[in-house]
Amino acid sequence: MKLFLILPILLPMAAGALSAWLPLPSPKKRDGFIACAVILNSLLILLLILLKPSGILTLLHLTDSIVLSLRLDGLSVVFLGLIGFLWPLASFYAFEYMEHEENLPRFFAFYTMSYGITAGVALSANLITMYFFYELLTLVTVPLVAHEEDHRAMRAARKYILYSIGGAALSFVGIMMLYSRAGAKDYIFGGFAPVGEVDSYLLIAYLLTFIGFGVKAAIFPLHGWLPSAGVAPTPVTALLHAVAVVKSGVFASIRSTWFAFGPELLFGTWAQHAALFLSAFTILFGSAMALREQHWKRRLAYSTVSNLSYILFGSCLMTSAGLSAALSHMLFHGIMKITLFFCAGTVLCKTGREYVPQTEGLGRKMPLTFATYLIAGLALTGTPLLPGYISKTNLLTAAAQLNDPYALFGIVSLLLSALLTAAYLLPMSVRAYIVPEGSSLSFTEKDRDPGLRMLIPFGILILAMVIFGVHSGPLMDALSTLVHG
Amino acid sequence: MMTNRFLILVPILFPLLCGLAVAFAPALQAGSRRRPFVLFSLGGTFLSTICVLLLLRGHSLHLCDLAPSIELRFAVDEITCFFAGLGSFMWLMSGIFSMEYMQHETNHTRFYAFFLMGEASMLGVTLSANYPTLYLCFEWMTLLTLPLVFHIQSEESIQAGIKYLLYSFAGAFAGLMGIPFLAKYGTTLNFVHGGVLDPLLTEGHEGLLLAVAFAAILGFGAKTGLFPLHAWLPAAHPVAPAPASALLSGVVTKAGVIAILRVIYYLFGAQFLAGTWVQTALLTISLLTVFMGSSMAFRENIFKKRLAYSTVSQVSYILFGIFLMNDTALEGSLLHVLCHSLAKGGIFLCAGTIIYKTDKTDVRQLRGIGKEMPVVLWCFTLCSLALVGIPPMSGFMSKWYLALGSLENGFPVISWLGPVILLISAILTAGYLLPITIHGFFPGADFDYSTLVKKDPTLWILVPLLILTTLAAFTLFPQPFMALVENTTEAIIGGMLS
Amino acid sequence: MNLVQNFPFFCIMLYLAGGVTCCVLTPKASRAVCIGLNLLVTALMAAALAFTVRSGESYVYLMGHFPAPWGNEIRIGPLETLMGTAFPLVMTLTLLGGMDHIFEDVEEDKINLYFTVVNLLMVSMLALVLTNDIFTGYVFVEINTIASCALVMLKYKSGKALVATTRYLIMSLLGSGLFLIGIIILYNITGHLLMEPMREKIHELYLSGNYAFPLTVTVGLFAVGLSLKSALWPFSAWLPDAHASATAASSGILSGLVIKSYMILLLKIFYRVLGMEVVLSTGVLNVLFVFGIGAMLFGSLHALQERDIKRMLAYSSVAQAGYIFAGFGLGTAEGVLAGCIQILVHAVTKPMLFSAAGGFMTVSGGSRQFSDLHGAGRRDILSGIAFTVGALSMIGIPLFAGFATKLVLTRASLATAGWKCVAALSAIVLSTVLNALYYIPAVALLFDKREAVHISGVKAQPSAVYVLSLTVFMALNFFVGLRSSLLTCILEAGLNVFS
Repeated sequence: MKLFLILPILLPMAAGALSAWLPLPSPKKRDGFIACAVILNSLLILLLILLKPSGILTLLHLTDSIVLSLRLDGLSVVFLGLIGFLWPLASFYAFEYMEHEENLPRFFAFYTMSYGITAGVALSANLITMYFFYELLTLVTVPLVAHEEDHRAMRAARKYILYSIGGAALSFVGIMMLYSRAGAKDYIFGGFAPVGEVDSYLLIAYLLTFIGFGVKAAIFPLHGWLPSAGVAPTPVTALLHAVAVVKSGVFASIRSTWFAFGPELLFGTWAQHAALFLSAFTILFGSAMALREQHWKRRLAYSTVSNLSYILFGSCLMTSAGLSAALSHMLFHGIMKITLFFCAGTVLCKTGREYVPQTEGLGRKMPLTFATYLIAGLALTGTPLLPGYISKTNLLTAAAQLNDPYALFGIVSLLLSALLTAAYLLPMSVRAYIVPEGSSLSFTEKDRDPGLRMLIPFGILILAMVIFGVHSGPLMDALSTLVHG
Repeated sequence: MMTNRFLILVPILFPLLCGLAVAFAPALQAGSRRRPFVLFSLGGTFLSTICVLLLLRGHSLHLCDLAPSIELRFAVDEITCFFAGLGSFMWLMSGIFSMEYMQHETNHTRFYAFFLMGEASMLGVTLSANYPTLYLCFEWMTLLTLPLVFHIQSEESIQAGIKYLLYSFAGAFAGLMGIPFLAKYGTTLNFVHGGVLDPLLTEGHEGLLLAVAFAAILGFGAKTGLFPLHAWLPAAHPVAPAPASALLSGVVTKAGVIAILRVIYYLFGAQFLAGTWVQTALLTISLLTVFMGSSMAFRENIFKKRLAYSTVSQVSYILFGIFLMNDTALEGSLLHVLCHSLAKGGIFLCAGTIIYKTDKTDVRQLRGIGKEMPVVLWCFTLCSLALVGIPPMSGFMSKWYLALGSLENGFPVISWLGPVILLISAILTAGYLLPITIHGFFPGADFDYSTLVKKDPTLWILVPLLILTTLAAFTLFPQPFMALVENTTEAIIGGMLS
Repeated sequence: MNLVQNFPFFCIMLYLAGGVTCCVLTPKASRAVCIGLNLLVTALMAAALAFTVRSGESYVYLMGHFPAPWGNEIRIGPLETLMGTAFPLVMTLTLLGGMDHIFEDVEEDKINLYFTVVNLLMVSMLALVLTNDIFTGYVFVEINTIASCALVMLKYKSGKALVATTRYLIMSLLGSGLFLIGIIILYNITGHLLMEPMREKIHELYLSGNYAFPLTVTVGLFAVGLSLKSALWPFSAWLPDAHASATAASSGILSGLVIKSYMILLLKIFYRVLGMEVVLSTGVLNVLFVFGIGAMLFGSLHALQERDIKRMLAYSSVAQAGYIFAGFGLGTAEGVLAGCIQILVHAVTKPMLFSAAGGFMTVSGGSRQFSDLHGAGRRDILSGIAFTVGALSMIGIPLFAGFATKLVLTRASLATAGWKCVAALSAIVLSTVLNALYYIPAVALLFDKREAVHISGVKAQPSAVYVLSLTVFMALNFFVGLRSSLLTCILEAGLNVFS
C-alpha cells in the first residue's frame, strides 16, 4: 500500500520525459497526453489522501544513517492537496497561453516533471529526502525560467541558480549540524532536536536552515530572484513561482521548524525573534515594493514575496494556532495568487500589455478577465466573504496570543501590508473599468476575453475562493487536527 | 405570533436582491420600468426595516460561521433601532429626489444597483451583533458605495473614489486590529453592554489594549471624517451626484459613528476607557476636527466642498459627545445625529438641486438664487438654521446638551474648552451657511435682475426636501424624538457612568 | 602467506613487463595488452582488497628478499588495495572512452609508445600507493613525471601540447627536486629509507628536540613539492594548459588519477614517515587547509570564466583537488577520510567528463569552444547524458557521487571546532553554488536546440567501447553515490592501520 507513495512522483516525471521524446504528431495530441497525465496524477493524489496509507517507504540508503524515504502525513496532505488541485488548472491555462510560443515539447516536459518533483517534496519523510527533491526542483525549473532564451531570461535563470543552489547549500549545512547533534532521524511532529539548555549551535543551525529555505520562500534580503523570474512565461510564474516552487520553500521551512528542530527548542529564543523579525519585515517590504512597481507581473511577484512571509510569520510564532493560520494562508494564497497571475498572463498573452498603466479601460474589452482579477484582488486584500480575510484574521489572532514585541511588530506589518495590498491591486481594477471621458485610448480586436481553456480555470478558482471565503469551517478543523499531531 | 429570527435579514437581503436585479435583470433595463422598481425597493426596505425594528427588538440571529472563530451574528438592539430607521428613511428620501435629479446623468443602471446594494450594507452595519459582522458590513459598505463616488467618471471623481477607497480601507484595517486582541483578552466578540474585556486577562496589559482601542477608534473614525483620516471626505462628497453626497454625509458617516459606539460601549467598555489618555486624546482630536472643519468650510468657495467640510466638523460634534462618556453628552450626540442627518441631507439635496438646475458650483455665483428658486432656498435656510443651532431649531438642543455634558465631566481643560469651541464653530457655521441665504434672497442693489429665470424643480425634488426640512426643525414637535433619544441613551449607558 | 598476498607485487611486475612489451608491438596489439593488463590488475587487486578487508590488517611485503634496511618493501592494507583497485579500473574505462581520440591524435607509429607510457604510469602510481620505502617513492615519482609528460606530449603536431608539456615538465621536476632534497635531509638525519624505521627515528628526534629546524624544513619541502605535483592552488598554474591540450584520455588520466597518486604519497609521508606530532607541530596542515579552501573557490572562479570546455574541466579539477586538501588540512581522521572519499569520487567523475568532452568535440568539428558546442549533447546523446551525470555529481546532488564527498566533508568540518569549521562550511556552500553556476549553463548549452552556424553538425557514431566506457562510468558514479558507506567503511579500516 505504501508503495503507492512513489507513484505521484514517478508518473509525472515519466510522462514529462516521454512527452518530449515520443514523436507525438501534433500539439493537440501532446496537450492531450499531458492533460491525461496531470489529471491522472491529481486523481492519484486524491486517492492517496482518502486512503491515507501509513508507514514509511524507504527508497534508498545513501549511507548507513541517511535514508531517502517517503511518508504521507497531515502536512503532506495539505501541500499535495494544493498542488493536486492547481496543477490541472494551470496545465489547461498553459495550453492556451503557450499556443503562440516555441519550444513547447521542452516546456511541457519540464513543466510536468516539476509536478512529480514537487510531490516528492511534499511526500518526503525526512530532511535529506526533502533536500534532494528541493535541489531537483531547482534544476528542473531552470529551463522553464530560461524558456524565452533572450538576454533577460538567461540573466534571470542565472540569478535563480545562484540564489536557489546557494540557499539549498546553506540549508544543507544547517541540516548536517542538526544531524550531528540529534542523529539523522525522520520527521516527528514537534521536532526531534534535543531540548535542554539553550544551545547556540542548534539555534545557528536553525537560522541557517531558515535562511537557506527562505531563499525559495523569497524572504528579504534573498528575494531578488523572484521578481526577475517574472520574465518566464506566465504559466511558469503563476504555478511555479506563485505556488509550487515558493510554497516548497515555505513548506520546507515549516518542516524544519515544526518537524525537525521543533517549537520547544526554538520558542522564545533569539533565533525565533530573528525569524519573526525577518518575516515581518519582508511582509512590509514586499508590499511596499509592489506598490512602486509598474510592471504588472513583477508587481505580483513582489506581492508573493510579501504573502509568503505571512506564512513564515505564522509558522515562526511556534504555536499551533500560528501554524494552522500559516497553513490556511498557504492554501488560500496559492489559489488567490495563481488567479491574479493568470489574469495578468491572459492580458499579456492576448494583448501584449505588460505594464499596469496600459490596462486602463481594458476592463470594458475583457470584462470576464478583469472581473476575475477584481475578485481575486479583493480576496487578497482581505475582504470578508473571501478567503484572504480568514487567513489574515487567523494570523492576527494567533500573533496576538503571544506577549512578544516581535509578534506585535508582525501584527502592525500585516495591517499595513493589507492597506498596501489594497493600494496596489484595487485602484488598477477601478481604472480598468472606469475611464475618464475624453481620454484617448486605443484598442484593437485582440483585446478581448480568452477562450474556454482559460475561462474555465478562472471560474473554478473563483468558485473555490467564494466557497472557502464563506464556509471554511471544515477546512480549518482539518488543519487543526493536523496541527495537533 | 412566532416571528422567525431569519426575518432580521430582510432589511439587508431585500435591497441587496433588488440591487442585483437592477444590475442584471434585462426587464429592468428600461428607465420607465426601473424607476418604479427602485422606488418600490426603497419603500419596501423602509417599511420592512420599521417592521423588524418593532417586531424583532431584542432578537438575535447567528447566521453562520465563516471560519471556526468568525461568526456572523445579527441582532436588533437599541442602536439598531435608532440608526436603521433613520438610515432607511434618508435613503428613501434621497431615492425619491434622485428620480428627477438623475435625468441629467448617465449610467442609471450602475447607479441604482449600487445605490440599493449600498443601502443593504449600511443596514447590515446597523444590524451587526458582533465585531466580525460589523467589520464585514463596514468593508462592503465602502466597496458598494464606491461606484457612487466616481459615478460621473471624471478624472477628479476617479481620484476621489480611489482616495475614498484607500482611506476607508486604512481605517478599516486599523479597526480590524481590535479583533485579535479582543479575542485574546475578552470573553467574546459579540457586542455586550459594558464591554467584553475579562479583567483577569487584561491585568497588566492595559497599555497595549488602550493603544489598540485608540487605533480602532481612529480607524473607524475615518468614515466619520475624524482627523487624521478625514481627507477623503472633501474630495469624495463634492464629486458624487447629489443624492449620493446626501447619503454619504448624512448616513454613511453615521455608520462610522455606530462602529465607534460599539467599540466604546459594547466591546472595550466605557469604564475601561474613561479617564485614560485615550479619552483625553480622542476628545482633543474631535475638538480639533470640529474647529478645523468649520474653518476650512468658511474659507472654501466651492459649494459642495464647503458642505463636505461642514460635515467633517459636524460629525465630530457627535463624536465629542460620545467620547465624553456621560449620558447628557450622549443624548446630545444622538440628537445631533438626527439633526445632522436630516439637516445636512436636506442641505445637500438643495445644493444638488441648485447645481442641477443652474450648473453653478461656486458659492459666489449664487447671488439672487432665491429669486429663481425660492422654495429650494427656503428649505436651505431652515436646514441651515437647524444646523447652526439657533433656538428653537433642533441643532440648538443638541449643542446645548453637548455643552452641558462637557461641563459636567470635569475634565481639566476640555470641559470648558469644549463648549467654547462648539460656540466658535457655531459662529463659523453661521458664517459659511447663512451668507448663501442672504445673498440668495437679497443680492444687492447692483445685481442684474434681468438674468433671473424661475427654475423651481418638480415635485420629485420638492417633496423630499420639504419633508426633510420639516423634520430638521423638529423642535416644534420635540416629544417623540426626545423620548427616542433618551431611551436609547439609557439603554447604551444604563447608568453605569455618571 | 596467502597467494592473494602476492598479488600486489605481481601487479607491479606485470605492468613493468607490459610496458616493455608494448614498445615492440603493433598499435592494436599494444592496445590489447594494455587494456587486458589493466583489467587483470583490477581483478588481482580486487582480490587483494577482499583479503585485506576481511583480515582488517595491513601487512608488509618484502620485495626481493633483501632485508631492511637495504631491501625494498611494499605495504598493503585496505586503503592501498582500494585505491589500487580503483585506479586500474578507471584507467581502463578512460582508455576505452578516449580510444578513438588516441588513434586520431597520436601519430601512427607512436601509438604503442602511448600504451607503454600508460603502463609505466600505472606501475608508478601503483608503486606510489604501495611503497614503504621513501627512495623507491622518489624513483617512481620521477617515472610518473616523465610518463605523464609523455602523455601530454603525444598529441600529433600540436604546438600547444609541446608548450604545455614543457611547462608541466619544469613545474613537475621542480616539485620532484624539492621532494628529493627533503628525502636527502631526512636520510641524513635518520639514516633510514624505509618508512617505519624512519618514523621511529624521527619520533626520537622530535622528543629530544634535536634537528627541529631541519625537520620543519623537510615538512615544508615535502608539502610544497608534492602540492606542486598534485596541483594544489596556488601551485596549479600548469594544470589547465596541460590537461586541456592533451588528448581526451590523457586529460582524464591526469586529472583523475595522476594527481591523486601524489596526494596519497603525501598522506603516507605525513602519517607514516613523519608522524602526527611532527606534522601538527609545524602547522603545515593549516597551510594546506587554507590553500585547499582557496582552490575550491578560485578554481571554480576561473572555471566560470572559461570558454573552452576542456579548460573549464581542468579548472574544475583544481577546485575538486581543493576539497581533498581541505579535508586533509582539517587534521582529523574524519578529515582524511573525506579527502580519500573525494579522491575516489573525483576519479570516477572527471575522466567521464573528459571523455564526454571528447565526444562533443568529435561532433562539432573538433572544436573545444563552447560557442561551437551548441547542441552537441543532442548530436551525441550518450555523451550528453554522461556529462549531465558528471555535472550533477560535481554540484553535489544526492544520489550522485559528489554528494558523498559533501556529506563526509561537512561531517568532518562540524566535528572540528573553531575557524576551520566555519571556513570549510562556507567554502562548501560557495563551492556548490559556483559549480552550479558553470555546470548548469554548460549542460543547457550542450542541449541547446540552436546549433552553431559554421559547424557542420554530424551525428555521433560512437564505437562500442565508447558506449561501454561511458555506461560503466555512470554506473560507477551511482555506485559511489549510493554505496558510499561501503567505501567509507573500507577507508576507515584502511586509515586505522595506515600508520
